[in-house]
Amino acid sequence: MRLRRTCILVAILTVMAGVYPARAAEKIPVRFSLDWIVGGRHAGWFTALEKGFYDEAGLKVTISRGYGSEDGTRRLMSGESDINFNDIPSVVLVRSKQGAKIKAVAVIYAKHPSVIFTLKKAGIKSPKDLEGKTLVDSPGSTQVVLFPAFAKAAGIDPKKVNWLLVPPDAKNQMLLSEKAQGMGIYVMQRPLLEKATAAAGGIDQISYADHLSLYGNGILVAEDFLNKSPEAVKRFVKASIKGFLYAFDHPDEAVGYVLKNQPILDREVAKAEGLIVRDIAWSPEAKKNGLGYMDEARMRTTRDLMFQLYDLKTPVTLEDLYTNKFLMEP
Amino acid sequence: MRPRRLRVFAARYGQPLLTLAAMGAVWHLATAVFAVPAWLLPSPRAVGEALYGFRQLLPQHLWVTLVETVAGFLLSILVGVPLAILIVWSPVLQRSIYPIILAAQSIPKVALAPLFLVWIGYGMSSKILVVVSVAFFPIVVDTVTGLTAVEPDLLDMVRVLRASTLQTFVKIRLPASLPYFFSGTKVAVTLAVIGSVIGEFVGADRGLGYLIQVSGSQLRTDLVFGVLAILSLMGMVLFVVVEWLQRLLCPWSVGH
Repeated sequence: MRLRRTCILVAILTVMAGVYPARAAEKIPVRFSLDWIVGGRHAGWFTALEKGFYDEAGLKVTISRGYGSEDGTRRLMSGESDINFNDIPSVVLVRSKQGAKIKAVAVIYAKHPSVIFTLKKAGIKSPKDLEGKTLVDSPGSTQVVLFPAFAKAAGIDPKKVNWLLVPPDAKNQMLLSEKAQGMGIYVMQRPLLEKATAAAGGIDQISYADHLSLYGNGILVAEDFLNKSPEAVKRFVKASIKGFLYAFDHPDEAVGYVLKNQPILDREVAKAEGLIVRDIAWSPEAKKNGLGYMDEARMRTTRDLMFQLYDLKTPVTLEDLYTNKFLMEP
Repeated sequence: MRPRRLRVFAARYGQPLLTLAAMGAVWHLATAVFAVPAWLLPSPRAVGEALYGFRQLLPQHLWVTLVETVAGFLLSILVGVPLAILIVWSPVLQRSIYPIILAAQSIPKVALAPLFLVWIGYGMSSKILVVVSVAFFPIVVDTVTGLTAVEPDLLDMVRVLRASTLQTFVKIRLPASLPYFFSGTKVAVTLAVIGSVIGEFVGADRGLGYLIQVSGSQLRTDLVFGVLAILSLMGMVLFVVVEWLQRLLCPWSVGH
């Protein structure tokens, strides 16, 4: 009697031991890297992480900070990162110039985030007012690169605008101390600058997106990883979109998840950053087809603009550049 | 404290502490009187409050930078001392290696650091390599000087006593070089702190240099100042540790 009970118990335990590790082994590891230092704008990712959306999708995701789009490309090509969040225009660049096989599988910053912030007291209200002024940015930044195209679209002479290039961490101080009249940066920086300039009268904003229709940051994957683990990519995209949707509706909760990872942020500033992402993510095509959807015409514009700006030679097809299938497939 | 110990403490540390206190007071007054914006120059009190507010965050980042600094420093000794011995031992090697070391030293490390990071990765090892690249030069130069700066009379004497080259090296040159070696390590250890921060500025997600970067980008200049103070304290402590080791290993060289 005792022997039979023991045998049954052992049998049950063995089955459990067999099943349980198999369950845990189902979690696919995904190494995800961001575009820069963790900030309030990354609320969607950390919501997906902390609320268990990635877990539910059977993914074990690690989120690490990024070091810009060049580094992002390097990480994807070397396999150091499986998935990267970075700007889509640079995919056009590296595909054409380096033959780097990277694809965009979703767009988050559907309205391009590049802007020029100026102190209100400088009285710069339109792009034309930028002529004759000094703008500060960091070498190789998106705003500097896109400026010729922006200038052409906005009808101003780019040669009449002076660029002061400084390390990225010094930009804010250059604007605040009025060593430059304007600063090129992403629109998500607005809450921090508004807070810092509150005493000095606040800031004005000139958006590249008012004149250029290209896409900003999105989810980027190397084709190698895409072909190797398409299921993982699909689940990651869907869980991330779910994270962003939740973060947009629950900004107070979402900012808490970011702060857990980056305690040095100011809560209100970080929360406001997350809400700006909400504004630029909801493009007309996203409202129609779902968050993250990439419109073909806009992708074509993005690609053609980059070819023009960089005088690229090797063609890049739209099929190479992006796909909506991971967003649309059930 | 007993009156005598108090007097000794005051004699040794009184002046620098008073000077620091006076500077702190002037700083505080300046920020108050001139209404300096906090993102430009925070008051000492703001710096203290920032450090206190983030006190739970600091130890882990301090540890990372400390490990990078000390590991790099020790590695510089491991690389630098044998190199110095080789240079002194063989004039051929001296003529071939020394100029290369000099050339390497002239390359600004802020330019090398990004390369290291791309070659080796963004973990601690690339920062340790940056530390080695800044710290090994003073160790090599000072150790070489020490190994060669032996009194000629002493060398003559042991030659008369028929000492072999190896015996001369181990019993005479090596001990004589210790004070110079420690001189080099004291310079190296302070440079090592700078090296790890440079490495972290270029690419890190942990460490005091990373904290400075994040705080700076958030216009938390108060925290930047606080972390800088911790870095400088760390450098001072490491310096004192090396000096203490010097007192232990070659007490004859430490004078006041």
